[in-house]
Amino acid sequence: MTTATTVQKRPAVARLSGTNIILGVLGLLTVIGGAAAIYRLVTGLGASTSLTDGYPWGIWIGFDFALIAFSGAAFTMAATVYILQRESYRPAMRPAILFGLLGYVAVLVLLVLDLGRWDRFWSFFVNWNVHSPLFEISWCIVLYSTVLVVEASPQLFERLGKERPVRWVYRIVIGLVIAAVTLSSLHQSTLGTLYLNMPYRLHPLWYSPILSLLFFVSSVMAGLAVTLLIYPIAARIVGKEVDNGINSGLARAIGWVALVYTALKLGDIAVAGELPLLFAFDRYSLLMWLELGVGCILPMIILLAPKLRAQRRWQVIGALLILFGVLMNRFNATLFAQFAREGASYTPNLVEWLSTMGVLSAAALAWYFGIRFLSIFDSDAHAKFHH
Amino acid sequence: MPDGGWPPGERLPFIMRRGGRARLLGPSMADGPFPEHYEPWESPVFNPLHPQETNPALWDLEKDAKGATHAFPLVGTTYRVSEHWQTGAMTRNLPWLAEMQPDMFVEMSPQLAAERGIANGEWVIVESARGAIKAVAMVTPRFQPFIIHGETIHEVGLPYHWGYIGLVTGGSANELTPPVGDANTMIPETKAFLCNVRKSTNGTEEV
Amino acid sequence: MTKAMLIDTTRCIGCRGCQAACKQWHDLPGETTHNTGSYQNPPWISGKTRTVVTFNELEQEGALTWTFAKRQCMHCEHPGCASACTVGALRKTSDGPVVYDAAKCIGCRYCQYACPFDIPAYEWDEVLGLIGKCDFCVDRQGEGMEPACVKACPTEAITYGERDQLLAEAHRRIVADPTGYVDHVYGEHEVGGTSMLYLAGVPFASLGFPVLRNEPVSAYTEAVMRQTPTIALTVAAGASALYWIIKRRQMNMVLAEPVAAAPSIDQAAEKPEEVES
Repeated sequence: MTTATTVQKRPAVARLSGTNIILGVLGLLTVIGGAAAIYRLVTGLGASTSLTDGYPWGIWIGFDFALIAFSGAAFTMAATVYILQRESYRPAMRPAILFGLLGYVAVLVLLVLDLGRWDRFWSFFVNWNVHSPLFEISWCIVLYSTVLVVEASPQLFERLGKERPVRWVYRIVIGLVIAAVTLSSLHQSTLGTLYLNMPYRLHPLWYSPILSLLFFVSSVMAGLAVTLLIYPIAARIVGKEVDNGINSGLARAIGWVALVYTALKLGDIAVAGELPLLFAFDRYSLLMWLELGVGCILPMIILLAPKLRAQRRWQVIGALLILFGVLMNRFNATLFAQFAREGASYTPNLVEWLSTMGVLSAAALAWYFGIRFLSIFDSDAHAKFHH
Repeated sequence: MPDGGWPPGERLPFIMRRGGRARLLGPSMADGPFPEHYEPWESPVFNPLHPQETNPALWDLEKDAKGATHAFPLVGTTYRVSEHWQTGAMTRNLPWLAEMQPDMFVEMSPQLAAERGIANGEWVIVESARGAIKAVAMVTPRFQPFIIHGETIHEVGLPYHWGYIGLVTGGSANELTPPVGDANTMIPETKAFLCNVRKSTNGTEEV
Repeated sequence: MTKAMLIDTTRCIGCRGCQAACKQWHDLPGETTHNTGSYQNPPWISGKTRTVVTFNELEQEGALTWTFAKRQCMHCEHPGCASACTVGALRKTSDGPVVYDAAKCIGCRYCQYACPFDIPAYEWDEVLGLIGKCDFCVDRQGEGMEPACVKACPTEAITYGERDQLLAEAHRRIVADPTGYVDHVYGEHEVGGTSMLYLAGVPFASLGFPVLRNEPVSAYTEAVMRQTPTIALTVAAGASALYWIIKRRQMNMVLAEPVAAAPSIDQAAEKPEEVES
């Protein structure tokens, strides 16, 4: 099913192609964002952001939590290929792992920007609080990023022709993937547990005893959706043929996971007696309709329809809607669906927007160049090293 | 012993008076011997007890700085707050006190505020025949209008702790108060006078 | 035995000696404030203001009352902030105070979300800011002194002592003057009980006190977090099991294939293309 990699030779002189324009814009955003980030670190949160005691967290945390869900692409694809042993999905795995790795690096940078005492970010290594969801998340992210680095290292070593490290990684790959799945289950679900500490602050349509489970399931959904989007992009960057079987398989999987998520969420709302809130048509019910209706049920229908999910256009629409839904979910829980103190409001300012866009652009750029220059689709090299 | 360390019987008790004795009507008293009701120098109502409106012996500085009801229909009074003392020369330089009471304010009833379209917390101009100052309007039900002879008469209250130097500054209420005082002691009649309150133009008008 | 404070708002005259005493004892600066239409200033607890007296003009049975309520950290028996703190910088001591170790804090501000009273405040104006909140004058208590605010209060609206004794005193006052007090000691049971107890002559909600249930804020969270090792082991074991089961099934299929697929000589002669499959 997979063909040999063909790398298109690009001319030495950069052309004003669509790709190069995009790369240029991303590069510009990265530089501007970097300046904004330095300004934030040097002047402090009060001087550089719109955050207040009424809304202590803003878009950095919102995008952080969404990005962690999106980076679920790495563990879902690694589990698909290594645990479920669906070899046919292997071509989509490396772009997903690279995305996950860069996603977590971006998460860490945004987190450093958000911490009031970023100079003490290491404090949770030595000061433990096992009751705290954020403590567990911090440890899991650090450990999982390490696992990701090792998982992704063959992409570099194969390109450099270093056999030994690659063999070593493949020897422990199953252990790595089991660790990845375990660590991911823990912190993806604990991101939901985090909100359980806000029973009076989070609107009842979101606050639920099964919040941890919902966050985990949505991370699987988001991870698969990301993969569905980026696998063909990666293939196009390198000039490789796209396997449509992978695409429609991913689309179907997303559809089923979305069905599970919808059932869990609606069931939870019904059991809690909150259906009237869903139909209150106030700001909160509308936010939930956006998140669940437009962002989960609609793409679920699209992706479960065999005729639609076979078409690339509907795959993209479905995946984008899923990602929109998960993004909305994280932002609703963190910002829009919260009861803040009277008079509090939050509108992110320029420094927050620019620094966020800068970090995301840097990650996107790194992913692009990683796809181009690392060993992503090199199945010959893979066959050589895989036992 | 009253005001001193001398043994009993050596001095008479009314040490502020010549001879040490009290008098009902003594020398150098401009007013007395018994209290009488007079309206304040600036008043929105007539004296109901007798035709002499105000105390004829009151000590006054500027006879012509008197306001009339049509221009200044509100009764003004001055008082204190816990956080500041006198004109605030000391207390407005203390950060913890300045933080608690930073701005000159004028308290008024919700009814008066509604009449003038004044919202709680907005800057207003308080003026009298002597001058005008900026103050933050504090609309509170603790002030209620008086109904006197069938007429509604509003009162506003001004703390007099602010001035132009200090950690926090603000308008001095005593720029508005009358230049008249008690006939005997010259204590100024700051507790009852006529004034007016209006919204400040676009909130930034300076006076 | 845990120490507590009883704040009787019917005795408070709004002098704010407590607010000034707290600033003095903790060497805190005065903030830049503006009068927004109330005596209440600063408007609420902030990084540099650990206690605030709120000014509440309320109608009580047709009569106007101006009720003052001193607000600060409630020093909960089961503090949400301590449960949530990423690095365990907030901690409930057995003596009563919920203390804050500034040396551990990373400024993540999660504690601000876990507090149902909106208390932990961040030093936004600092380049490297920390959290600020009432520490129940734990240093004064350590020397056998009462908190600064208690000492400053001229009307003994604030009293300090053992929690159970203060609760008894509070209920005694309610019984002695049932029309003067609302029959509720705020903080007795809210979110599992707090060290700061309140009496009032008007409904607590009208003074801005949040309406809270009796279970601790972090009850759910801690129940879930306790399952972390179990979840980790279950997922790891489950993933491993899944891997082995599928691997064995695939290996069995591979073993079974050659026997089934190998054609007989006659079959090969009839359908040669099958051999290549």
